Amino acid sequence: MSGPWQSAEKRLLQLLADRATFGLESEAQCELDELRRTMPDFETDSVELAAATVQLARLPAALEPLPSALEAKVRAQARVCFPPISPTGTSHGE
Amino acid sequence: MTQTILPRVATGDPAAVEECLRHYGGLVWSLARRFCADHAEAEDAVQEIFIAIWRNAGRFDAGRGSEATYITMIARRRLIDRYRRRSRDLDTTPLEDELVDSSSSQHVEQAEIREEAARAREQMQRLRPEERRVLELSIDHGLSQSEIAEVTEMPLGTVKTHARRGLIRLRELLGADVRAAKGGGA
Repeated sequence: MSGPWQSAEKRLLQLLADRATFGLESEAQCELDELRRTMPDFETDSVELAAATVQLARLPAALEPLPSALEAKVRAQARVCFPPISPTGTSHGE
Repeated sequence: MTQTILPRVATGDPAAVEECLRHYGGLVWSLARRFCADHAEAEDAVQEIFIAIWRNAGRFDAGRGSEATYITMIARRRLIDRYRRRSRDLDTTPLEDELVDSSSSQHVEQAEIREEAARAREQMQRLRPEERRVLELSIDHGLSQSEIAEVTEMPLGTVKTHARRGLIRLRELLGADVRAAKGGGA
């Protein structure tokens, strides 16, 4: 089972791990882009999901709620992006 | 265990968008506060992150992790981009712990996020202590490879090796967990 494919996959994982932790220099980023082109089906998000797990593990027990003014701004953005559906099935505001 | 808000957001359901804000507003805000230099920047970041969440809601795959993890991943991407842009130009100061007017009407539905965080901590405990430490210093504290080498007194190359091995191992553990959950019908 070992071979060029496996070592390319290993290298891809290393670069994805480097990117998720310390970031990549442009040369390494080019190498990563090239490997991704050769392995388009590889789930590159999986390493970033692992990094997100580290972040989640470190969250405080009690999360601070969104400030109300900011919540209102996000809600206003949402109304633009997702206009409410009218009873006739057509969107308002578009 | 797993929320199913994002698939409904992807269909354009305004109620799901509201639910998404209620469920994950606190998570996104907490992440933004950790990464951003000041309150105003954290506010901008949150708005940008929610747009990214809505745009990427259709790509969420419950077979690869929880919604909280997926949202954390999207938030991290946006926040790291912002951080890198900022650090190119500015000297940053840590985020002040200022008191903010938090929404009293917002029902922060944190139980599921707390559950996810506890699960994430369990996964982290399965790593070797030095891998765990390097990942925490890098991902949570945002230290560079050389800063971690200095703090931990590890050679630079060892820091990178622990970060890679730890993250790749964590990825395997998450994959195994998802497979087990599927097999167990959870």
